[in-house]
Amino acid sequence: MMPNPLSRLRKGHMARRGGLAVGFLAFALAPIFVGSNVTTMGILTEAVIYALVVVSLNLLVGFAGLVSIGQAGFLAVGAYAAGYSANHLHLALPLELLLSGILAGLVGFILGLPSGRLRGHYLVIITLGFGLAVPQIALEATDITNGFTGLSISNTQFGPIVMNSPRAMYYFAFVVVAISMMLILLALASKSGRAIMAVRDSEAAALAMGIPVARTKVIVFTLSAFFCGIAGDLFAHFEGLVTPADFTLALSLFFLAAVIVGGLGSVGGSIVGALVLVYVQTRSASVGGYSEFIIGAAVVVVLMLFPEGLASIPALLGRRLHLTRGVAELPGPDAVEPGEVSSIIAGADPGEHQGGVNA
Amino acid sequence: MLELDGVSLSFGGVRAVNNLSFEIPDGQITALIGPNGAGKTSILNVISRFYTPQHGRVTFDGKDLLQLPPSEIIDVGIARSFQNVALFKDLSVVDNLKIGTDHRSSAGLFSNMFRLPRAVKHERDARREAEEVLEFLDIEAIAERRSGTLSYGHQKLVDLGRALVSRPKLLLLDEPAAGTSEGLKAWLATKIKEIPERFGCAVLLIDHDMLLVLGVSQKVVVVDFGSKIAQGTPDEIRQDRRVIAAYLGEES
Repeated sequence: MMPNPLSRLRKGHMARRGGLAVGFLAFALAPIFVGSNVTTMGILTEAVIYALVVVSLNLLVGFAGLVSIGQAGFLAVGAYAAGYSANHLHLALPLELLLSGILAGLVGFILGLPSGRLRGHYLVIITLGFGLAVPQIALEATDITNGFTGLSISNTQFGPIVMNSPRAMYYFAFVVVAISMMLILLALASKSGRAIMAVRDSEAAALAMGIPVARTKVIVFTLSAFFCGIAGDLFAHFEGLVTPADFTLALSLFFLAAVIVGGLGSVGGSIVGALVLVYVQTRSASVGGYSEFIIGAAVVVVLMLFPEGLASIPALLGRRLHLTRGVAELPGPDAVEPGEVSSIIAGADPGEHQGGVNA
Repeated sequence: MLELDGVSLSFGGVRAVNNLSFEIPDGQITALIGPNGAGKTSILNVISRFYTPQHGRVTFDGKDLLQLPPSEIIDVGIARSFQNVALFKDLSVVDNLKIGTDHRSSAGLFSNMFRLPRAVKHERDARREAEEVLEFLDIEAIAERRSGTLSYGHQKLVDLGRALVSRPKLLLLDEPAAGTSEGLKAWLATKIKEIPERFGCAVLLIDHDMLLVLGVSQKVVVVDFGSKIAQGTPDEIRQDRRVIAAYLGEES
């Protein structure tokens, strides 16, 4: 009997939605359990903000196949925009977030312009240059960035609400990140997301299907930078001080490592990747100079165990428990007997027309 | 509907297509055959606008195709399959097919992200149309599988389905049955025969398999070394001495 394909479609969607709901609840309820611990709340807030950065980077690296090692640059643009807005423009928080995103998105758009023509290593070098240039520019443009000293932000405020507790700061970041992730997931599950992944998998087929390849790459860069800029805004409010030293190459590589540990092309994986690496970073901070070495070792161990990242664990488990079907069981149109071939192809009488031509 | 007029294409000193002219009539299956390296795929790539010929004209319903970028060819109603299946391998089968419908949606990133009405409507239409084609090709059961994990035969079907779901006026099929089992080949032949009536489009079919080609097509164009050496109905082609000679040179 033919299995109903619709039921299987719904099952897959429900599993994914279930995972989303569980993750959402876990983050929403976390302060109830650890809310009294200021340090833990801080780590959790950082993890939530970094999760958005890592997801935004995964849009480029995992979903579009465009490797960037300058993501901290977009984070910096968003953070400085937040610092400047808070000190000079005094915008309402949602407007300020939007402005930071748009500014970073604009930078992403410009950086993405050559991506239509540049491939592989060349594009990587451009993002590297960008990531290295941003802190330098921040050092020099003292009128806006206050140079080495940095920009400080006091009291994050949304209307009458002043976010002066770690718990309030966490929820602020959580809500913004949750909304951003939702929008990213919706974009990915649409024509736009399919176009991004299509360009990654086959440019020729994407063109033949009417997808403007170069424009799609620029759109991904803009989108990635936009959400990274929003994360930068959150970062500024969370840290309270934005300095050029915050946005190192090491930070960009940390984000890239989180993308890979979580799994290329997986939003859930990126969230887990960010959590795991922030946790490892925090735990290893106490052993001083070895922190980066320990993070590196953790990345190696995860990738040796799960080459496709932590996001591949559910699928691996499913296969182990025989929840997914093997290829051999799949029905298909291979059911025609080889003997019938010539009669089907040539019409009623296959013997008649087999002159000198056909093989 | 599609007309090639004196098309020549060279790569450096190598002439891949030589002063080629032919026409693809509406609603029929036209086959383009010829020995290996005869220039068949080059001709398809000219029509898809992957290659720009040095000479000649390519028109479709009176429109000059050579003025268009490759990403706009599907908008005039020409879709294609690929000889070595170029699927979006990390996407599910149904998503591969949905991409075939996406060129018809005017919804941009913003509409899609906020699920504005036209984005929602397109998603619904895309799914329904993808399911229709999955059913036509008898591959509903693999709808949610990652296309890169499928057998070669299934991949060929998804490749065909992705082009078909775009509702083209002209479907270009580059060796749709190459490398598949005898059983699948026969099944494909019956399906290709059904396409013009069921989907209201013309088909340009490239294949090596003379049995398949002569069995399904109404018109055959034979090329060798980039030039047309014969043209006619399958029956006429079977009798053509030059065709027999060209093929005997390579296979018997």
